[in-house]
Amino acid sequence: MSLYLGIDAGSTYIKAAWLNHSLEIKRLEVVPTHADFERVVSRFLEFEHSSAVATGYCRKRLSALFGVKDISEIKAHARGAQLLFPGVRTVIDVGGQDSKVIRTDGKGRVVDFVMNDRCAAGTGRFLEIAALRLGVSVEALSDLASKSSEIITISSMCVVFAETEIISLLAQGTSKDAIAKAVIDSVATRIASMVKGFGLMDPVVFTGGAALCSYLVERLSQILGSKLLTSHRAQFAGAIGAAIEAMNRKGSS
Amino acid sequence: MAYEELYKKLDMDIEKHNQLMEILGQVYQELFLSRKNRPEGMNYFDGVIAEIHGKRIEELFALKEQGRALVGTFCIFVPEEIVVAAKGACYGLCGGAQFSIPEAEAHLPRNICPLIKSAYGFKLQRTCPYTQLADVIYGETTCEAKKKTWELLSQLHRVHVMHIPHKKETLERELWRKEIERFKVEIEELAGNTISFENLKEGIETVNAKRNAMKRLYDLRCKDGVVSIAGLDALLVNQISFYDDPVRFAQQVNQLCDELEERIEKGISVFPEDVPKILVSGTPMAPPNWKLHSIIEQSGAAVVAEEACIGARYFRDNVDVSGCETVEDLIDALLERYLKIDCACFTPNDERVENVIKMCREKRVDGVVYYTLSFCHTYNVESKKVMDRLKEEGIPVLRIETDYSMEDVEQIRTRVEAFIETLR
Repeated sequence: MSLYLGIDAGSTYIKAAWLNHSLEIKRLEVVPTHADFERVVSRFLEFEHSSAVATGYCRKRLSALFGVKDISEIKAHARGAQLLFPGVRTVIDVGGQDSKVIRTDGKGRVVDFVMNDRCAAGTGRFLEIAALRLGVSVEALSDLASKSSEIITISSMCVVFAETEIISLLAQGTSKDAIAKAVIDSVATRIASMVKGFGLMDPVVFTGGAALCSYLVERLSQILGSKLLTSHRAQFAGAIGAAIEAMNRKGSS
Repeated sequence: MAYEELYKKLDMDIEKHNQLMEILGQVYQELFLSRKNRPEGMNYFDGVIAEIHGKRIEELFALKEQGRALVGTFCIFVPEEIVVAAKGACYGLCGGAQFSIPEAEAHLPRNICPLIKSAYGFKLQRTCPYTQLADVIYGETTCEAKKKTWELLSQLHRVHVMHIPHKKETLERELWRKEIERFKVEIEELAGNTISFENLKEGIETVNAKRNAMKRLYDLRCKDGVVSIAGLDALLVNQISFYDDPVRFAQQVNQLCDELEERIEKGISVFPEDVPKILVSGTPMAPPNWKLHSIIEQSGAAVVAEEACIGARYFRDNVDVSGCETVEDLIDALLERYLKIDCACFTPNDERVENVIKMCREKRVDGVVYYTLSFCHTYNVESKKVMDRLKEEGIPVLRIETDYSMEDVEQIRTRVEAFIETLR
């Protein structure tokens, strides 16, 4: 049995997906991105596969090092989301370094897209930094937030200033729950304004590492007035999309 | 260093300038000289860049010693015909490099456009020989940040400010006519003689001929499905038009165009046949700002036109001197031509939107990249109108907002690649 490997080398995590020729997901792996990410990738490449395609922020490096083909993460996420949720028309992907909204044709092809501009507001990085300040994991941040009914706001869009704001809220004795809620609300508001400017078309899928933050998905669904579809495999949408591309290229070559 | 004596006369910071030239040399080698299949006619322009702070500065210095007027500008609104008529030189000043921005930010806010910060920084650093040479820097009022920066710049160099109108009605036409007249008087004072009808007509015709050559290049860079020259090279020629001697430049561009005609006939393209063709629309790219073009072309698309001040806005319209009999007639003709400029500083500015669409059709582009420098409010805000209209026409568009720093190159590359994927 031959497998097709997709590697999504993102700014925060490296994700890998192996698909068989019937597009069944046979294996998924995720490892944090750090200095020796090249070793991680060569380990992935040692597993059985008949062809591989890279995507994500470090894709050019992988392409240069290992000679694998690469595609943009926009295309990869659109393809991956289509496999996970057939018929999807809008993909909201919130990763470690950027967030993007993609409109597809309902068959996995990109029609248009928009990305946030060079700023960590509205990205997974915002959640990570806040979680770190509160001494919890990103998943736990979501749990804390869902427990709070207090309404406070974090007004700084800039992550650096928001961090200062979190510290001063802690100093005022604000509960961690309320701060966690405010942080996620802030990210949700930021993403929602990007989505609204771009236009929403149902069904909507939420992909990327931030999909693990269930409270964010819930809040964003509320603000946008549309039920966002997601799953525990949504983090792998880019890798899955790259694996599909690996299969298509193999088939056409 | 060959030109050190000259640089000393110009009160330049020689050590800092050497650093700048070293970076420029490396970037140029990588983005231009190492590329394959460039037209031979580019040799001249490579030579101009190699000597951009050398031979050309010597030429200008010689003009200065003859008492000719040297005018530095930052905007295509300054009527260079008048300077050419006075046998002086009108040229664009350095303002396209990250190199001088850190110094500028000691005086200027960070959140104004990089072009202004870069230009002001070059004056502070004393690393731009063009700035150092200029008898006068002509600033204008196309935006708030420029307008106020001139006040600071005037503490370091002689600066005059032209009042560019922001509407195109009767009052503003009168204002602009007065500004052209005032400019003429000031250039005459600098040059020490009056500009006759013949002088001015000749000056206009010289600049018209230069614009015609550039228009020809615009027509030939992508024709009959052949991309005869890389977008980066064509951009470079456009950039050099602001520095070089206008007569020699026009000759060289025409010579390049002869070669491009041959290439088109033989089907010699710098890209594969099915390459997506891109129009770049928006803020000007002053050299050495080659960031967006290099990303687009490295990602497998060809830039076939620039809807920008360093681009079609500069050469699209000529000054019509037919029937002109007096200096006043010529000034009227200049007035007419300059008010066709569809800069985003105007309100309303619907001509621009229609011109973008027209260019897309002329060049049969597959998509548009709307380029805006960070904090350039006019082009930034206007992007919505342009993009809405493009979408109406079914022309795909990607918006890129950036500055001169290299920190976001990979993010931009991702967007550009994804955009190009959708065009295939």
